[in-house]
Amino acid sequence: MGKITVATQWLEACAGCHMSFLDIDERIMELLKQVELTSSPLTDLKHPPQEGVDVGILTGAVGNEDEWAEAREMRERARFLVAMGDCAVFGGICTMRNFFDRDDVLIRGYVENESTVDGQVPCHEDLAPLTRYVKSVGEVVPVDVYLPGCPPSADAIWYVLGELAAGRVPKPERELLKYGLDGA
Amino acid sequence: MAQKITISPVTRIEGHAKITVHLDDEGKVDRSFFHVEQFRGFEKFCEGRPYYEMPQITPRICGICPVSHHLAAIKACDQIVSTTPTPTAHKLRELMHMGQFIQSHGMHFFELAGPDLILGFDAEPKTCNVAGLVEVNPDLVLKAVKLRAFGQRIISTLGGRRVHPIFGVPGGVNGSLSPSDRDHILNEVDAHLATAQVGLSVFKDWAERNQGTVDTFAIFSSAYMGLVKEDGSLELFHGRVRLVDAGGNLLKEFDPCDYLNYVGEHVEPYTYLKFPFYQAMGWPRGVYRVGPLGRLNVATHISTPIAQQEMQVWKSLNGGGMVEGTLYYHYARLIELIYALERAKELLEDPDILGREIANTSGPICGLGVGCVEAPRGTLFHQYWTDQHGVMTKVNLIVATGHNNWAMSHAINLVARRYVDGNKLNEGMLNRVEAAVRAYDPCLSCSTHAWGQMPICIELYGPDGQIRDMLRRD
Amino acid sequence: MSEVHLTINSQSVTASRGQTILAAARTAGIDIPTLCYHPALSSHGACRMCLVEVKGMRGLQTACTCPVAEGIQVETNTEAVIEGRRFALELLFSERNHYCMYCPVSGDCELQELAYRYGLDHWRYPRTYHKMAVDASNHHFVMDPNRCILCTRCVRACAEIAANHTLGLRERGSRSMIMADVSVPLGESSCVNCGACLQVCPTGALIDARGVYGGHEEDLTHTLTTCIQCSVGCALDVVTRGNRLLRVEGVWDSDPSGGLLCVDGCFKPLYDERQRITTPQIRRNGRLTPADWDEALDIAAKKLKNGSALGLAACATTNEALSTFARLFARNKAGRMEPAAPQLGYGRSAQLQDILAADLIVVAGAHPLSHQRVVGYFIKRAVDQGAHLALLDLTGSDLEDYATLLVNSEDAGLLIEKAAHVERAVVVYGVDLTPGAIKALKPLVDQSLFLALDAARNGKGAEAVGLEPLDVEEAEVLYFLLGEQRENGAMVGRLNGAFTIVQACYYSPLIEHADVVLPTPLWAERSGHFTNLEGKVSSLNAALPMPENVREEAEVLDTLIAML
Repeated sequence: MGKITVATQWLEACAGCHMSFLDIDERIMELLKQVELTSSPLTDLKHPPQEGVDVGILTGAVGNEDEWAEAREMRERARFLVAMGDCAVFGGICTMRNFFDRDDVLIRGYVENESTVDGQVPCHEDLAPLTRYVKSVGEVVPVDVYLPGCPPSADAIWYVLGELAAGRVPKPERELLKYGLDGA
Repeated sequence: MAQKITISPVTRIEGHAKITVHLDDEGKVDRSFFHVEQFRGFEKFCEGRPYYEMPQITPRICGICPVSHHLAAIKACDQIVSTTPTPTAHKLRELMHMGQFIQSHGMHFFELAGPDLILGFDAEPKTCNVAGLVEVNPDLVLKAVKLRAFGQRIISTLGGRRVHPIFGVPGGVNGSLSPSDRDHILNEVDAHLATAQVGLSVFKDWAERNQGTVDTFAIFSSAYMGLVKEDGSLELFHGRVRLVDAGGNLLKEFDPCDYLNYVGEHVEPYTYLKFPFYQAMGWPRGVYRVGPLGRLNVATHISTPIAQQEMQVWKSLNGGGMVEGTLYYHYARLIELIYALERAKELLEDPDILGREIANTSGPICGLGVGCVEAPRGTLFHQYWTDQHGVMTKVNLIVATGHNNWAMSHAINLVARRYVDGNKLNEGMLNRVEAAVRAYDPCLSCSTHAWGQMPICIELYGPDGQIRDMLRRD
Repeated sequence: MSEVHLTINSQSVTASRGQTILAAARTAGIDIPTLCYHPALSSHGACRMCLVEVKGMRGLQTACTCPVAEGIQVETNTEAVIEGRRFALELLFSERNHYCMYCPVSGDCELQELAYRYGLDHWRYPRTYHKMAVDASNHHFVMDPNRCILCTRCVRACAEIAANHTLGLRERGSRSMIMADVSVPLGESSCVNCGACLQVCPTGALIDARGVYGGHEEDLTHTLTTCIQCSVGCALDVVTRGNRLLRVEGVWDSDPSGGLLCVDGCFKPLYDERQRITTPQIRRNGRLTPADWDEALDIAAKKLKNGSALGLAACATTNEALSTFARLFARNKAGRMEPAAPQLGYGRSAQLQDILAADLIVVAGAHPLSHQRVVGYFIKRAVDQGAHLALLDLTGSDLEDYATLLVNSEDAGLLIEKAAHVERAVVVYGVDLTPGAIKALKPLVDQSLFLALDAARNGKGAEAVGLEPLDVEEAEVLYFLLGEQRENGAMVGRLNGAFTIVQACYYSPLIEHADVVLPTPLWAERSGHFTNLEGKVSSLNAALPMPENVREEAEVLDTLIAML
């Protein structure tokens, strides 16, 4: 069997899912024999290849217009789309912004903030506007495989990638299905 | 408006960032902008949460240095409930912090910056990555992976998890270290210390062979900030904040709890990342650099023997003056890695580390707390205000990468002015922009080099909005 | 009780008429998942986790409320049942805002566990982000409605276990909220901090503020022991991790209280701010200074040997310590510091559970809601179930709101008239019982059981070894066995220059006047036995190690006996 092609992107996230991926430690060498990373979480390419990939992985939630577009692009170019980590699966901690008015959140960060001097809310043609609500990936595009966890354990990530490489659809269960800070 | 070059994505500090370079009518660089595009709003959405959740909420700011946020938060929580950690708890927290430095610094040098140095700054991009490194020196790569795993294991032994551990509680920590776990970790330290020393010699070799680059690349003077111990030596976990100017003169030394009197943040409309500065000097005169270079510049010496030997050499790099070269961040980072390993060993050999008194009880809720640690990338401040029941009313955070915002922007500006000329775009520019940013290890950029070169697309637009030139590497 | 025959998943099951399908299934070893159901509480049928299919009945039934019937065929795992449970779970996650990444119970959460069991790798329904304020106004625990699934276990525990009725529901549908009293902050409510709601909450909606993030269940140690904060002697589950005490829980189905605790047992001891004595001390040149055990015991033994001695025990310790104490003073005078309830000279003794079965409860000379709180809660529970409560010679009692009859012993006729109409009466009396009341209660002797509330914690243990209430008297040596008993300085003025030995856990005014101080373990460090007000003996098991220089009282007293 040839290698599967994998593209990944992270959206509004903390990078913890990628650190957990690196926590597969030495197994990384083995993984590279089965998986060809095109645009990967770590090479961090902006665009998955035009011709498409076998598997697309998205981590993080969708909180601005660029991230929205990136999620859609990944969906279009990936045969299988994996939502990885609580942010991608449920919206995660990023959705705590949804309890507040978007402008209030920005004003707190850039104007009212105690250490900020002569603040202003950043606004620029090169800054993507924040969406009113932060959403999970599944609320924006159809997702094929969900892997929750904050972050998912290295074993769970290893399992999902291994199944995909073997041509199977992973279904995380038991020890590999954990939410939030449950599981190590 | 003349022309604009967009480099996207460059790096990710809390996510996405890009660089735009603006040209004047003559095609010369007017100025460049470093845009950080992500904003999540932790300073607002933590309001209303019980204070004790902050050490679990704030690590989600960054999954690479979650321990720094966890520990800064728990220090703030100690103050909110008028308590202090037991001596054992204080040492266990520091030990976890050393685990964090070992994994973060280790990963950055070996897996991210290493390819540049071992394979050469101008190596074929397709091989200038960790896979290429495997070809050249598989043994070193494996050691590096193990070094990172070692740091992560210290964290998970104490906090139950590698990423986003659960360890600190107000007044201490939630679990003690067992003698068998202590022995297990202690037995391994020396092997990883040797790996770190190999890393340092790799850098020194490279620097010697590339003295020209090192001496000219993004060198500029600035002030510096970092924690120091009482005796002025390097401190990563718990100390006083020292600010020195470009000439090495002390600007201020203060208790981190008083940071609001000294550190201000400036906002630019084009980026979500703020620009901290020393208030007494105002913006932009009061800018400074943090992280490994900043810390070694403010410290007089290092308390552990091997790191101190290297520190003496490092201090002499600029004839005794402040070490200014952006590429010396790597050098400083490796010395800190050695210190973190030596310090971890010291802590593990301290009988207190096995103590069973791991938490003091909480006192009355005083409603205010400041926590400060040196995160791998620089000084991290958390400040919380609560109501009388301990519910968060306000949060202020100054994250490590922010302090270097000006420095990164400045470094990019220097590189752009030097390498961008009108319609000509070339690989050399990409390499240098990338290297300038990577040296500062801004939170997420560190991951960009693990599997290959930093992917960059530069588009040069004419005044008519049409693309004049494009360079793409992916 | 007649038998009913049914099948569950084609397995023949025999159940008692009136049992629920859930109870029948559990007896037969068939698992049906539950969430709002709790064995210590009435069934509510709200969460729809226990859905089952009953052949011939429309729709799905909740097994926790549906009674068994002859011949019914129950299926617990059909596709429809599983889809129904999954649907219910997804709605639970969507209705509120569950952030498992920082929730302290993540990993030990019943909701999470069920989601895993039903393979919920995501939730299909969008959330509403309705902002709900955390209520942290109670010193001991925090209520976060964002994590509340409205299972009402807490409401039922508050009403059915503590009979306190503080918690209730307000509004309807998705806006429903658990509220305290008429929607006041918990800290300002009628909550008595018994901890029952906290213990039954299946999610992180109610969080213990002290032990939060102390560790996952797998890291924790549970030690079953007995509460010695009052004479009731409730069973405790002391939760520790290493040397760190995280929380205290009740033990369901245990004697004497069935799992109910009070603030004195489950919270106050964890927040004790008194300074601990951790080393023996002796007075040198007028100042108390640390000493080693040999030195301190040597001085104590010499004094005890050579002078007239008086031993006074606060009954805040084990049977073992009290009996050794009695032996130490066998040739001298010794007694207990606390008064005892007067002897009636008539009547059979009651057990705590008898209160719940009583039609009439008479309280005299006692304030159980303040001093033996669990007894007070039992009385309120009985009143909730229709029992009459009469207060005899009690004015200003916190039980007044629940009483149907307030009488003086002079007008005891009313009480006797009332008692004539009931089958089972329980008389609960305490140290303040007046001779008039003793006389007035005597006619009730036939249909009544009598429960004496001892003012001392282990008063029964003291009684068993002959330690009777005793006041301070003139003596050359005074020996106080205090344990954790709070000492407010009342003894200080009465030492009359006696050489004073104090065996205690905490510093107090008395310590400042002592000549020899011997540290004792505190409740969670004790091993031994305790006799409660019913006369039942239960064991104390150490959940925490003693500090290095602290010794069990019995061991110390034994040493002193040997030295004499």
